[in-house]
Amino acid sequence: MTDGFPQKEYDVIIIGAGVIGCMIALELSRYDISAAVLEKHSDVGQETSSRNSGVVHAGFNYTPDELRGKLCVKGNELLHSLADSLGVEFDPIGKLTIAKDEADINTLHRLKEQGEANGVPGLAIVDSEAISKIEPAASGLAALYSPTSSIINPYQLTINAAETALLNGVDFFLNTEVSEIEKTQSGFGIKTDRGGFVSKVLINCSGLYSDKICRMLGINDYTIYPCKGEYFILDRQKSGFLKTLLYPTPRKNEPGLGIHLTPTTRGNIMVGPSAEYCSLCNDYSCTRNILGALVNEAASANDSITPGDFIRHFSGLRPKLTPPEVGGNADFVIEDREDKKGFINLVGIESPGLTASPAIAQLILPMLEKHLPLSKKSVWSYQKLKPKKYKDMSTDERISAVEADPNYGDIVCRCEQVTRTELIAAWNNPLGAKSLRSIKMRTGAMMGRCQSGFCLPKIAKVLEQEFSILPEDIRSSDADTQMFETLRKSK
Amino acid sequence: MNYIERDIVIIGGGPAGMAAALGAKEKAEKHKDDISILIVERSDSLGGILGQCIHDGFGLFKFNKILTGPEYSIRYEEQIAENKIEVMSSSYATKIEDGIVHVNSREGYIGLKYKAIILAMGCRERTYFNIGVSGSRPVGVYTAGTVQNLTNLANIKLGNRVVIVGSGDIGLIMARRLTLEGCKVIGVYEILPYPSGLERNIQQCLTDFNIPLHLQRSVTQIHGETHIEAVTITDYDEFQNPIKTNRITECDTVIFAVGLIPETELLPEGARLYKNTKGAFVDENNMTSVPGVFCCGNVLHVNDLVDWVSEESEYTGKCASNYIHRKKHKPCKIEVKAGDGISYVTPNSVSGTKSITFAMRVKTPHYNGADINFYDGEKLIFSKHEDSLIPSEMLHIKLSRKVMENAIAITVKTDE
Repeated sequence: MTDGFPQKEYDVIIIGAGVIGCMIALELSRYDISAAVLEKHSDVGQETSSRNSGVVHAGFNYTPDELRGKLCVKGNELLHSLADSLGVEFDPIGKLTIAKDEADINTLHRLKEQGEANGVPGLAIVDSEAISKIEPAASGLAALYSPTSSIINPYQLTINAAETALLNGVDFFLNTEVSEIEKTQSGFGIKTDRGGFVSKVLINCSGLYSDKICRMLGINDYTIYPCKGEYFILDRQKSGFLKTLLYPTPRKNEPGLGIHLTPTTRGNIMVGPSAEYCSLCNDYSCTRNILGALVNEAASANDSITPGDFIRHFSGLRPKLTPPEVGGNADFVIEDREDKKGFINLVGIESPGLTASPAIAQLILPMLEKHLPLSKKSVWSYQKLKPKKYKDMSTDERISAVEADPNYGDIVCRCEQVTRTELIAAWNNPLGAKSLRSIKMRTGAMMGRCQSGFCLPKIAKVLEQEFSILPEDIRSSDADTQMFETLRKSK
Repeated sequence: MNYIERDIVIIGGGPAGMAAALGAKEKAEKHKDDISILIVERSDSLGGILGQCIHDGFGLFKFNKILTGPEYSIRYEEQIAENKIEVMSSSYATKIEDGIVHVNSREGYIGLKYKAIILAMGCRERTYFNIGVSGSRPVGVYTAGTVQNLTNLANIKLGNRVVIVGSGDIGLIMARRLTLEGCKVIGVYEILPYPSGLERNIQQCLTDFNIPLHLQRSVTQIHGETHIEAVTITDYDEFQNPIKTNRITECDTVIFAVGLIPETELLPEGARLYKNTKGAFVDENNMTSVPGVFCCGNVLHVNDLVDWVSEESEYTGKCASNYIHRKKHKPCKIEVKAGDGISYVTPNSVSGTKSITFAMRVKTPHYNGADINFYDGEKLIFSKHEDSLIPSEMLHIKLSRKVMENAIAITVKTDE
């Protein structure tokens, strides 16, 4: 296994820095153990974690015998306060699951009972009058109202969890892809494209690739079926009509939860997701036939919406355990493998994975304790909260900000009102992620209606001015995404 | 908040803003008013989009010369300096609220109080998301204006084998520019049965450089993981219904030049919009439905020639000065609508007390010419025959006071 490079040793290694891996890292950082996260991309949260509805589910869609239902309810509760501590955008806007016919209403009653059995608070079946009162943009025969359903910024959650874990001693190795794993006497030998690692415990949080990681250890029990969900993001100016999550009543064997309208914490509305199985784990392409369905969905909620009002069309992949011929979705697999001692395996963490993430992290602890003594650190703290975004500042806050730091007076991204100060801070992020996508996820730049049309040249200029980054060194996301050629010579 | 007060605040120091400032000053001097004019410009210099338009063709009508963008701009910048018109550069107007413009700059976040404000912020580009292009999202997809900026100002090369979507002027200009910079422009793809840009640009940018123009075709899907590898081209009928698809391989860059949209985000709440242009609804003084708030240039409607922008903006500046001098304009109760064959007409309402030059565009080409007819209800009040009309060439028609003074509601139509 050794390839000439010194091996890095840790008590615990986590493979995958998505929201699950980062939340587990956050939890583990509280304990006196050495831990590291290996992530193949140039930043955390690059796959499913940043490509979802951003919904914090209440937990009524799962039967009481399922693990994911319990974890969802617990996670929902934890996120209400964790979001605050981590400085993550979070809004408990509530959800209406709309019934269009009698069959739907029966389903809603079943869901309500199910939710209550799972411990979901505040569920209520409301009539059409109440629907309009709660959410003027909605209409239906009846609806299930879940007050604890909320929205969160999922990639911000992933980043901030990772940064707090980093602050408290967890190492993050970005641009590091695992190629081989060997089960040894004392634990695991891990080979990556950046050198070797050794650990006592290995936690598999690799999402879409969790079956691949399993197979590296000779575990052939699982196959992940990537199931694509496409979304459209609506211009913020057209997004004011909806303040509550609106979902249709779920149908049996549907691989997802149906196309719905989701307000986001940034003030846009997202329409989607669709659900189609696809063959590749990195196929994030968007399909034209879904466009029509999603536009219709939005237009049925607000007839002033036209296709031109959509500013972006993107997709995410659900790491499904259920194959296309079966459909539906399966419970989480979270197991402490008996056959590979020390291998804690998480497979098929699709929805409600985001919601469940802090609860999943807590669930890991007793599994971990079987392999390592766990004692809490005496000193542990959350990362200092980041300053408020300029775009969210009040007039007085802006006056003070610019006075204290003139870089706040330099607006780099017009659409999202992102300033030079924030661009600099994003580039200087503690994880060392350096790409346009990293800037985008941290500041919101390039996410506006012009989709970087105006700010791309400005951002390139600022990177050169502030950090001597030449245009040819700028990456869109990972190392192989060079964007520019230039004739300029380095200074 | 610290406040500055100026009589006329102009947001945008491009050709529209500069011409408006000069028009306002000239008119104020006629009135013997001593007014203060301030231009607020977000970049570090005046000129707006002209700074990146290094090709020529500007100033043919205004100066009887063929100038490049910067050359055209400098003529105005010099006048701004000569007239000692105040400019705040690197200053960004964030919003207009309760009659105050909030402006952000390194010097501080301040409020500007004004008697009249002229919005001249120009326009933004339609993206490929707005037109529903599917496929992956690799490196290599851009809008034409962004490419122009990166190529001409930042000396950045984006790729070697380029597909351009949209035959509007900016797409045509970039086809030529990138060819001159050493790229292979595989073709320009236009969904309509006719090109969107000016005839002279088709000749000087495509024909002269042997760049194929494909009509009734567009890019509908992008392929490639990290970088673009190929695009799917779809053929359309003359009503933009897709007929069939085929594929082009080996392109590494796609440039979308699929339309410009007025950047109206700064408009104060309550300002009525004009659906046909996506700009503001304005009266004959280019004043919006919010008193004292004027618009001119591409923020009002997307122009094809900067010469018209200058004329329109100079006029708007004069109107703003008049407004301050008299404290109001004559009420504009006669609404002007675009009827059959006309995609838009501006201004949108008139008083009938002065002659007005209307700017408009036809919906479809009339190569053999057409009559442009102005109706008051059913009654024809004015007609002008125009030879060879195309949507990409803006039309200006002047109506006298006499023609309009008794009108109730005017509709403009074409009759072939």
